[in-house]
Amino acid sequence: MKSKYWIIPAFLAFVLSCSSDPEGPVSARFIDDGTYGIKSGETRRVVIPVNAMTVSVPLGVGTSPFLNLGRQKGIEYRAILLKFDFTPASGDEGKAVSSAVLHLPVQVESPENLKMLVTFNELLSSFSDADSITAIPSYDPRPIADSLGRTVDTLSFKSTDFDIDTTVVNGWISGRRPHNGIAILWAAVPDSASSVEMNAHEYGSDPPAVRVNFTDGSSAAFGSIDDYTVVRLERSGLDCVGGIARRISCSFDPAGIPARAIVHASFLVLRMRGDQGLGATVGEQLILGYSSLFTYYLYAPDSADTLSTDFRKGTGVARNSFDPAVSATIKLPIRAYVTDILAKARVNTGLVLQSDRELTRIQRASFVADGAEAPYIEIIYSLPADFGGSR
Amino acid sequence: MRGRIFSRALPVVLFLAFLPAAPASAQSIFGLNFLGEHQFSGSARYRALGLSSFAVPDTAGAVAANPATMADLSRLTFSMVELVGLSTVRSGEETAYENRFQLPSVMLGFPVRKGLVFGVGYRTRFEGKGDLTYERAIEDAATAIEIYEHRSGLFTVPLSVAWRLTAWARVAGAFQLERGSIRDNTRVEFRAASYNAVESRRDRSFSGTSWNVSTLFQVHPRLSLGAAWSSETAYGVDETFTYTRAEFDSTSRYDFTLPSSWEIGGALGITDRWWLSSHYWQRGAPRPDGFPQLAGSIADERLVSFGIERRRVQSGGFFSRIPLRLGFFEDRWHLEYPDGRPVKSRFVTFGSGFSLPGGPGAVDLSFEIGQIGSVSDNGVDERVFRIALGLSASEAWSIRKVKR
Repeated sequence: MKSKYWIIPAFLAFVLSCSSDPEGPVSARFIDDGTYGIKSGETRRVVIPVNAMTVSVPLGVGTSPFLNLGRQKGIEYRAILLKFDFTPASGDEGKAVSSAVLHLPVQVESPENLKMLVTFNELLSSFSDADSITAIPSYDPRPIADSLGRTVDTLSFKSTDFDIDTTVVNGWISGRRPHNGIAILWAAVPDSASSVEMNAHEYGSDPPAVRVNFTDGSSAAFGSIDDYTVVRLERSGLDCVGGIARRISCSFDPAGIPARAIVHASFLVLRMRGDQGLGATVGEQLILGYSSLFTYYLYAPDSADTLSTDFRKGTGVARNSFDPAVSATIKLPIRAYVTDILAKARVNTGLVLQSDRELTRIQRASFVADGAEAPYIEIIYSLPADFGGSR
Repeated sequence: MRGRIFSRALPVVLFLAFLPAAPASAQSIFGLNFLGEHQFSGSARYRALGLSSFAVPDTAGAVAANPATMADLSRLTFSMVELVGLSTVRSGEETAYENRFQLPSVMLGFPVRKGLVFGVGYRTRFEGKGDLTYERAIEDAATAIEIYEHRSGLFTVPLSVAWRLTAWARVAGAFQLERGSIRDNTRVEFRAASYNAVESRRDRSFSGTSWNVSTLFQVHPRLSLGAAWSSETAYGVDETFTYTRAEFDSTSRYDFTLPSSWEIGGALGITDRWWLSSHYWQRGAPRPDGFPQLAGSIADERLVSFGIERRRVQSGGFFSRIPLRLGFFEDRWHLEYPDGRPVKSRFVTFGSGFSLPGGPGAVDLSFEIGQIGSVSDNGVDERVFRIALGLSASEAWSIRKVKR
């Protein structure tokens, strides 16, 4: 009986040793002349111009763990706002301050050995971390002087404690002088790529503080309870900025795409200006370990009206990241959105690009707004196959 | 007895189990264009004789070109045929090397009493398979890959009965369940991130029944004649279209009729060992329902074949104790490509066989060398080399009586 089994492995070995070439080239004629009767639908690429504009969305941006002062990549960190809780500890009530120091925990200066000239000015109205502040609030133009009467100080990594007038501090602690906060302002316009970064109270340790010595020899420290970096852009453009909530609104009209189109891929295509892009500051990268990539969130707003609150929310389309400091063309995938609007499954309210770290980080991605490299929508689609056949 | 049957079936089971692993690829390249490549049913002996042994009694197998020959089976018999083909396809400047794997027939014959045999099994009627890939350049975009997948298979489940009326006359009838499907899938894809494939697919499911009657007459110890007629097969076809965008999906139903066919054959023994055989088969042109692009390109199909066999003897050298077979056939397909230019298969065949070691049964081998189509007439041709392996295993068959 066993003698017949050889035929099985022999035949299988023969069968399994076979292989075939692709059949496409030799059978192309059957498809081209319609004999096969099935032909893939035509595949096309279309480009649709985008009407893009920057929209400012007021949102609170005060929860960053770092505060920044200076200039980087076209972003002006114009002021740091600090507000302290001067409620004295039990037993310290009524004590007089003999000396006071404003402690600013600088972590990073860029470039090295930077000496930034600053003034400390009292704010005339209060603020909080939850506010959306895009301009320096009103302040007393007369800077707070130190014990020697100087009003301009040098802020650097090596210079973080500054004498301040005990009269002012005594007034804040006693409540006789309103404390709305102070603003740390440029005393002179810094170089275009210079900044100092310090802890905010959200950092978790060593916050900005006013440290005092009382006349009885005891001491106390009053940490910041609100702190905020006020930012503005040197030049306006097509910018997506986290921290000051600039979003890019993109509208487009897909008319001309056949109703039976089936989308392979679709992209919002943008040309990035790397010289204006900032993913993370030096301090954020070195101290906080942040990535230098710009994390974006692309959504279809509930309303195309940029003034409507519904414009600020919608259905997510894409979320990813890119390096904003590289001049390159980026393609943000929007296939599902385009498929839906072609199927009339949703209304085309356009697309909004925003930083996905809008509330916590100052990031900037800047794009070319017009000309040959203006934003556009790219759609690659195929029509359904033709099963009718024709010769 | 049951244990012996299973032990004998073991190689068959193993054989079938490995089938999915076979690197099956295209059937005939022309099989893309209609129902597929027509498969004539018959044993490897029939194939080695160039599909000519329609009127040759073959008591060894249940896979028979002429079901009436099953009337001579005296044992429970399992038979199958497998086919491997290698081909070179030429079209213009293009050449492709292909392999094929097919299972044309599996049959089981049950003799219920002497001269009366029931049969059931599977026979492939048409088979087509193709995986075609093309690159399409898209301006300012990644290159698109167009992929076509074609699968067609129409098959029959015959429920047959063969009866030996007299010592010289046998008849058979078969009720045949006709099933099958043709699937055409096209996919356009890109080898790039963020690109999704777009698919369009048509599935056609065929369902119908047919009848077949066949006869075999041994008018002389060295002359037998056979004839058969198969009714038309009226298929109901359910057609479904599905697309990546589901809102385009649709279904429909239509009828497709495969016309009746008839065939005749003869076998003549020149001596006790040397036999000539011939076979003619014909079916009228089906209407191209479901294939509108082939209107005017579907004609009658005709098979003409001849063969010569030198039968084995029990004594002598090795080559005396094995049969030697030689044949030739020409099959004119239903398909004309282009219009008025029929696609023809022409094959020279040869082969042999030997008894199954260990018991009743036979292993037959057939080697087929030929060409399908021609560059001059059809613009495409295939040069084909096929090997067919037939396996038959038999056991004595009786009904077990339960002892009370």
